[in-house]
Amino acid sequence: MPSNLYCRHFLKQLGSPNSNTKLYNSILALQNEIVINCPSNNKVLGIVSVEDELYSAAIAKALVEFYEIHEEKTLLLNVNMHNDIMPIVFEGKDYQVLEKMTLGKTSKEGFATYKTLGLEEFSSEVLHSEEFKAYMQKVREHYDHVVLMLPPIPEYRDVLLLKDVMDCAVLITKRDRTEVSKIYECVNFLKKNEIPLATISVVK
Amino acid sequence: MENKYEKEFTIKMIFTAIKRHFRTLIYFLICFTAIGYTYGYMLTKVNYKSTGSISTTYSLTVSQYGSIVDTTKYQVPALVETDLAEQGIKHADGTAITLAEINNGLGIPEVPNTIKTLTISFSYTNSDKSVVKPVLNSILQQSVKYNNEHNVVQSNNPLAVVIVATEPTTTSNPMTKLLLFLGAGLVIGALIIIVKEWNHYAIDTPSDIVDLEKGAVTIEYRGGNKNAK
Repeated sequence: MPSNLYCRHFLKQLGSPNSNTKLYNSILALQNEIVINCPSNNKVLGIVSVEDELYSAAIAKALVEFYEIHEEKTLLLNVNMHNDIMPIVFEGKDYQVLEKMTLGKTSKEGFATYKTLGLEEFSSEVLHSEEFKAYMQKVREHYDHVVLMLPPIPEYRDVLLLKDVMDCAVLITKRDRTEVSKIYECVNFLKKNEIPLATISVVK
Repeated sequence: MENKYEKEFTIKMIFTAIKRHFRTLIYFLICFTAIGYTYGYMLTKVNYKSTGSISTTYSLTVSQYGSIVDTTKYQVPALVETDLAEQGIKHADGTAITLAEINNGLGIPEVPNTIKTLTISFSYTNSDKSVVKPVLNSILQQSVKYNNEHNVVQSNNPLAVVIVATEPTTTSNPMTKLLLFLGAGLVIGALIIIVKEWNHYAIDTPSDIVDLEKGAVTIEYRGGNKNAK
């Protein structure tokens, strides 16, 4: 059971208590849906959005914090090279940033991070490399959950490079903003590329 | 097999469109109300109308009825012009009431095929409220006088004024115009936002993607800090 301290931390991280009691319950429902639709294979979860990256990043973080509250060791890995909204790797109860970097080829820290993986720079080739696959295998063994933050689809097709290391995907949509036709397009895109879709979440 | 999105025009879509673009609708209403107010109260001339009747004791023939109407239309206005001048009835700004004004403002009834009433109603319309009532009273009096003197009706069945000119009322109501514009703004605004929503319908609830047969979850993120790091 999560301690009060963690619950308070969750609320503090994600906004006002009123809204986040609801958020906590929403994430619980999201997790249930993931377990129902991908019962055996949901360790490495890809968070993809249709267009609104900010909400997908926030929901990815909320999901990680939810796992942490339930004392499950979780890694949040931002592999979206098209934004610079947050550090790349989170881990631990206090959300210590293990390898802080902002995404972007000019970031020295980012360069250093991928240096540790034996990679020269962060690009699509990184995601396609054997080193990255080995790294993902290592984190798969080490963590209870791995949440991958991916760029929006189908605009960016990086998700295809990760389909082998990812168990299932969660599609994030924004109420009043994401067009229904685009959601169909994304679902068809995932289906066509044989990427299991755990659920679609509508951020209110 | 691909899931094909088929647009459906539903009541939910209309309500969602109005809910999402409520502000746009309000802007439309404000703009059209302003135009309606300007048109109704500032650009359009307000006219005032008064009615009155003359009558005989016994019934009239169609021919007599037609004659009274014709004399009132063609002979009486000149007499009224003179009468008004003699009485010193003028416009509020001091100008005289012209023959053209009397002719243009005079409202005469259609001659019916069968006469069912003893009274003949006339009306007078003018933009100057102060002259409407006296002019119509003069028309009624002059019509009675002329037709009695020229034996249009029998001497034992004379014409008389039975209903004097009523208090003038506006013929074109600016409020009606304003309401019409307001209604037009509402309809046009609603149509525009519905068409806009139809072309780019964004998700409202998971029920919008029920055809995907994929469980969807609503995440209550209202008030959350999406930039929280």
